[in-house]
Amino acid sequence: MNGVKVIKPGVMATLQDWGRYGQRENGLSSGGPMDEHAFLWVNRLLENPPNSCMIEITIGLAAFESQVNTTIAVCGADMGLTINNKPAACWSTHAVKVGDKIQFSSARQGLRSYMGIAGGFQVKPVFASSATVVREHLGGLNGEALQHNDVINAESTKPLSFQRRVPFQFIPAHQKTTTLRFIPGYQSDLFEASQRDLFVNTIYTVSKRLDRMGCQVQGEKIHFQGAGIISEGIALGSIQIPPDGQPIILLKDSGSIGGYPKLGCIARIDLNKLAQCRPGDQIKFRAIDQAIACDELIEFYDFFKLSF
Amino acid sequence: MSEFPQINQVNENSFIIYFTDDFDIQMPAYIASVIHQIDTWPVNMITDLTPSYTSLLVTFNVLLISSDKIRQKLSKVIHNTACKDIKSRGKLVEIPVYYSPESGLDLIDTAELIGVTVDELVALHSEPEYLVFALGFMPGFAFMGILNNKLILPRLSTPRTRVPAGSVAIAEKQTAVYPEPTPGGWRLLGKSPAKLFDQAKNPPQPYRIGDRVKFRPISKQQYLRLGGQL
Repeated sequence: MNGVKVIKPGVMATLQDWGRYGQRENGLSSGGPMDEHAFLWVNRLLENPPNSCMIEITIGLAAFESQVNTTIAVCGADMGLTINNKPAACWSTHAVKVGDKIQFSSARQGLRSYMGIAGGFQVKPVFASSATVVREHLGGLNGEALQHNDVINAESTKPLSFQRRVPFQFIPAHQKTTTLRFIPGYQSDLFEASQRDLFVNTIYTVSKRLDRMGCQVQGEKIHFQGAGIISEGIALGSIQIPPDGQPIILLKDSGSIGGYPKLGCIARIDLNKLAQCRPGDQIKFRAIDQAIACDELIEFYDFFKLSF
Repeated sequence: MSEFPQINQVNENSFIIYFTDDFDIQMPAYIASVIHQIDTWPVNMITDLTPSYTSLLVTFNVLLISSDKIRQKLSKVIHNTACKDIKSRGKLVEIPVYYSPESGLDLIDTAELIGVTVDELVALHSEPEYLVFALGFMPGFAFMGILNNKLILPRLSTPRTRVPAGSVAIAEKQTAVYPEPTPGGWRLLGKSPAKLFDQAKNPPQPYRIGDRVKFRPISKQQYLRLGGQL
């Protein structure tokens, strides 16, 4: 079968669908898109089912060659996309033909871009998902990030006769300081009030310890006075405070259980903003009511007509 | 300390249930029983269950059910599951282990440290039946316990950069087998040829939380015949 050939994967490119659910009981991570907003727009533009598999490109410097005639869509960080060396817009669909070269240079702002294809990439699922979790060697093609010369299967389709674009009001603007709202929980009450105040009154900087498992931020150290805690299930977006006091936000590829105290969880829709933060970017945290975060998440998923 | 169980919402779609606040050998079977009941709920209502030593993280589908309803349903399940009623025991899984200095790099040091012979150390580790308390860290990795008091030792002060696949190891009150090579600070007593993670199977590992595990000492010949590598 034909599809899209990887000329170069760049810094890192992985195949992701919505994620591997129902396997945490077996100790596995969910994987899935770091930026759900950009991911869902790609599938919406292409009229794909919302969990269709696509490529998550990190930082850029990636290149692909189409082996089919079809339509692709690219959303997320603007990485100076070109098709056959002609500039092509981000947050938009593009018709491609056999032999077309699709190239990403690098993002001036943001970190991750998503490239999907009409009908989705056809990847053999592992535990009902094609999401790549490199740490577990699961999903994608042979459990690995994309490599030079990989071919990802996709069908030829009649290219869309017109270009579809994401309306500008839905394209996130880059912020100098990103505010991430969080739902206080887990051991939050066991931290001293002074430490909880310090956490919300500090402007943190995204460190280089940033990957699909977690994001460490640097700034004022948060101290935990309580006793050690017994390892427990990690919810997406958990704000973990390790002994060095520098918070780590746990993301889609994080381990399923962990034993560091946690202040709560980042609101899931704000994780889409964090997914586009780069080392050096500034972060501020603000507490939010669980019910509000929940309503916003439902509204977000309803917009994309999710049913899972 | 507040009373148990506690059902606390931690994000938009997850509750953590704390059943107790200390290591308890009754917990794995109890949590397994709670999971068993949640498994009978309508398909897709629950997206993930993450059991651990004393807690269960329940992740639900916000598009199908509200937080309030999930909380009610969880309290009902817990109310109906009394710890003393748990009679069923998890299945027994036997894991063959080649205990030797060449397969367990810390075997001799550990025996010396606790003042027993290597044979006595092997007996101390292989005679008890262990319980699976939690799965995690890496695919197929199970946290098992509780070790005989004599075997309770701190982790190595300097973790190894690479623990070989199949290594059978101990740390504090726990024992485990490393399915794949990884950095690690546990003390290595031997190696098992058993395949502990198979993505073609569901569940992919031979044990679940609440199951019982017994290590069976095998010879070098048996180890190699079963596909073990040195």
